Amino acid sequence: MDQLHIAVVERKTAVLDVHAAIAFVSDPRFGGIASFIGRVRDHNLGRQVTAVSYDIYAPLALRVFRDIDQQARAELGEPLKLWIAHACGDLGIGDPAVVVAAGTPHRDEAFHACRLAIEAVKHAAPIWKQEHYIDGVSAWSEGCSLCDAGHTDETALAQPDAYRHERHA
Amino acid sequence: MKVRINLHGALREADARGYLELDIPAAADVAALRECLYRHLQEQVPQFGAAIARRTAFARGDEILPRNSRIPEHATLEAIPPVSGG
Repeated sequence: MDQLHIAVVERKTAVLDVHAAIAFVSDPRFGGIASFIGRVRDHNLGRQVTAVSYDIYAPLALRVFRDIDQQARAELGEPLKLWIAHACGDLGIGDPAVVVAAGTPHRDEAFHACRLAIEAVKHAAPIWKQEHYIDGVSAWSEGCSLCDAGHTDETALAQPDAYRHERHA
Repeated sequence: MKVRINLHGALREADARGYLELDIPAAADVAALRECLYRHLQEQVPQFGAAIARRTAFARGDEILPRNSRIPEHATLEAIPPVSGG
């Protein structure tokens, strides 16, 4: 049975499916399910946002998602089911941009896995957000550099501790 | 030697084609490529903020290249500017 689901979902063809995420990580062995849903909000840094666009380099993003899974299993052990999906393309206010769900026997591991995954998605995956404002201006969000993130055999997920300390909106 | 750099995120706005072709020194590594990209943006797209090049990683396929990785001739690479998912 699959323990991991990862996806980059083109908004033109589908919407992120929260119910499918919860169903995927559900298991008779699991008493804890934690989930995070990131949605497009209507403001940022004092500006009114009308929409966002996500650009994703999918081959590397999916690699990073798999690395996140490996990191979670290394830290938390088995059993664990993990769902990581990020939307790509043009999204409106309220649209889900990212869905992470983790299922584990107990709540502590579920919370930990979910937090680990969403922070790594935000700080280590090749995903870029462009915000569109009510005045017609658009701007790419400031982000985290991956210059020191070259994979080696020893470090499956770049800067494994960094995402726990940096904070993004 | 020439390399093709596919552009992503904010870097897409540096060239409407979505990629650049850079002439870089033979045996250049990632750090040298980064400087080549910086100079290219400064000289060819002066209205674009070249500073982003110095925070840009490079990937080949599904792997980010370490700083000291040598760039193969005629390689196609992905320019990975600072990321902002979620």
